[in-house]
Amino acid sequence: MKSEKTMKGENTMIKKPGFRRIFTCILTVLMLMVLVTGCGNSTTPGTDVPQTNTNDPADTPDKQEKPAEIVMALCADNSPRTADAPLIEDAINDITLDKINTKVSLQLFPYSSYDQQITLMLSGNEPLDLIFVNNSNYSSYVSRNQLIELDDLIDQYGSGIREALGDYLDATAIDGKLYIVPTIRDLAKCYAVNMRKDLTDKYNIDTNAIKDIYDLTPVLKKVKEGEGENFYPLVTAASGRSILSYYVTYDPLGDAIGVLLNDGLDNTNVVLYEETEEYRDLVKLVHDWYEAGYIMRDITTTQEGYSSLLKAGKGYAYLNGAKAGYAEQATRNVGAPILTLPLTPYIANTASVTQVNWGISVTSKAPDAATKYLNLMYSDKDLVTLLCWGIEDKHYKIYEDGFAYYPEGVDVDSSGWTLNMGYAMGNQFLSPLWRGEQPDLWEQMKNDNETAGRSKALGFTFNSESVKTELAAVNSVRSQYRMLIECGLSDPDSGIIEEYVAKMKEAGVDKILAEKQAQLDAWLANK
Amino acid sequence: MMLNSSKANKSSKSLMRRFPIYLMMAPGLIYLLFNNYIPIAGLAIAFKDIDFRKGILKSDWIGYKNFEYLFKTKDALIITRNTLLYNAAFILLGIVFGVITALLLNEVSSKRLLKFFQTTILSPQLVSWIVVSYFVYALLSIDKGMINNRILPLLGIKEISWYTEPKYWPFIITIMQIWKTIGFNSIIYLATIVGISSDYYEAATLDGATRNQQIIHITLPLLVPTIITLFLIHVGRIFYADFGLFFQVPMNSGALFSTTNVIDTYVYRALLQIGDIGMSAAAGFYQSIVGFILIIISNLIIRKFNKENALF
Repeated sequence: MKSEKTMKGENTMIKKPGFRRIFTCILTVLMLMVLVTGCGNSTTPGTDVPQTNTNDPADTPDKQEKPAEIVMALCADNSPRTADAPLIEDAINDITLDKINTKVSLQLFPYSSYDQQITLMLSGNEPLDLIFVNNSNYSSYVSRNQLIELDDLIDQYGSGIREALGDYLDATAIDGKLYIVPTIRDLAKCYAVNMRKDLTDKYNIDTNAIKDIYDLTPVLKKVKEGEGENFYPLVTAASGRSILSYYVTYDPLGDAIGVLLNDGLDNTNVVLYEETEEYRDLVKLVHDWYEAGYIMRDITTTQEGYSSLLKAGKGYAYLNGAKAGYAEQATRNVGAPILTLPLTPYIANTASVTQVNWGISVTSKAPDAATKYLNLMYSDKDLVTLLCWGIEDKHYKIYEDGFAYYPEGVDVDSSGWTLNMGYAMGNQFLSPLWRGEQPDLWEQMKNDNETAGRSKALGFTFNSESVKTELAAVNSVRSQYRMLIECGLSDPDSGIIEEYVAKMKEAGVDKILAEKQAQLDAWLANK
Repeated sequence: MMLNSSKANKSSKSLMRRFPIYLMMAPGLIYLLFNNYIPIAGLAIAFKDIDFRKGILKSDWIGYKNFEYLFKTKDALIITRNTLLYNAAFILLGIVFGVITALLLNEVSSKRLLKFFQTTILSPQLVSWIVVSYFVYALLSIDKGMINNRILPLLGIKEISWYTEPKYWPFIITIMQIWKTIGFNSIIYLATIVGISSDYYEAATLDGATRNQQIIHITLPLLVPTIITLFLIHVGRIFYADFGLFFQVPMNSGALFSTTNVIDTYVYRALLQIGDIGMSAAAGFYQSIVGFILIIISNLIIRKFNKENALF
């Protein structure tokens, strides 16, 4: 035994230098690899340019200047429905090379990981120009300096953008500077109840009598009594979202932590909505509905949204944000006729205007070209139609009635470009309407946008950078209580709202409110 | 001189002999270097206010500000308690049940049966937490769940609103975790048991030891090094909670937070809207520091009692 052990010891003694040498060898190789890859990274931008230079003259022999290159990051899943993206890219380039001497490369990132992808591309300094921005990440994009200022660029190259958006363009400025361009769509919205038409007729429901959310009680009662125990008249629009989050009578000023009551039409006092009587009354209403069985008992944990519940005949109505043409959209989703009855007036606030926007990345190498391209998205009918519906006679066809629809033999799954994202493609009012829409949809939307009430804080964007510690803590509290209270599970008389508010205060909500008020006052003073 | 040159000769020979082995090791090492070591530099982000115009390197240093939200409310206490207690229970029960299962599996003599049992207990490991969460939901859903509809009425108990009653969840979560991980744990122990030389058992049988005595005096002592290694590995991750288990299985129900909120879910919910890289890096930094300290301490303790079993 003993001799064996010593032998082993000697063995390792002898091997040690060898091992060390090997180890250093491996390390050296690794270091070299790191160096090589490191160098590779830093040299690519340099080597890229000559490559494109040699390629491009062949494409556009008549152009003297080399075309600029931009990357457009589209928020869409890579699925059979976007399989023809390379063809669309070529078709875009046919237009843009000719009109603005720019080559556009289209990149698709799924909705679920879009923000992460963008952040990664920005930190890796990868080529990226046009970013799809929505109202939930807009403020953080700006506070992290991910977007460039657009004022001068739009003055120089963006006359089409300004013409299409009018004064709504300025509504998106932060500290007086533009960072994003909202797309043209429903810039004002209302909140509405959406219900199945067949049941509405069956129970003889007087839709004219429904003016606000409190008028829904008798309707829900009637349907519940008629349809029986396992039927839930009111369902949530999306799983994980509370009922009351789809009935908004305030200007959320960004994240709805600190709001302006009455849609911001009256005054500019920032209040905590959860502390108001209005909130308590609404919670009471929803709680009564829950107790009466109008709302499914596992609403906080269900994974089903309105379309599957209504389709399966388990639900009757749901609340949601609405716009002109919403009923047709919902009808398509549910597969049965849907009625949409507005419960609140049409209101434009910063959130509704900045719901979908385009911004230009801070890493952009050709901001001029990107702005020119953006300008085309707001003024060039061919480009907008191409982005919205694809290539004529391949992905869509204009029929005699003036509506666009799939060509014969093509449907949703075989088309190869069924994005259904007209709202994101610049000025969709330039594109033809899809079959099934109301013929005057664009006029209705234009009219709603122009006549809607405007919040006094329209154009104000809260910068949460200085209170993000508090915001994180408050968000955590909200995720704990919001669903419970706003889906009606908790009785407001049990003191749960007080507990919720107290916890938010403990997390520092007052500091957020004070900061918001200060920023809003400063913004109003500068206006 | 002679001795020296022969030594060098020998070592270069062994180098040549072992070269293929190092070559095989290289991909793993390279992976470790890129995936685990180089990103360590990224910890700096936890102390920075990231500004993309300046880039990560030139962003401002802001000290511990990114860490503040972790300790902002009283929830910090609940989260820390939940994370540590759950993981401690998982480690302890994981060892106990893993070893017992491995011992039982070892007693199965029919090869076909052994395969069957192994596959059965290992299969939950392969199911994602999201799928598991729907299994649980099918059992516990208030209207449609099997327990409320079939089992409780038989026992004459009133239906239970599982997703709003936090008191049941420490048990549900622990059971689910053990159910899911027991297969993998027991396989590691089983591999050790199978590797134990049959000489020991033969000698013990000759001396008249019963099966139980053999288990207690031979199998278990020889399992100890494996148990300790696995224990240390788990202790290092004691401040990391399985996000799928704590987020998906309770269906993100707010009413259950007092017993289901752990550091990973807290960070997710707090930063979902803000999306701040610095703050999420801070959470990761905090978790790894706690894990690192715990690993050092437990290794120190183990070394004190049994030097050979310590990891380092």
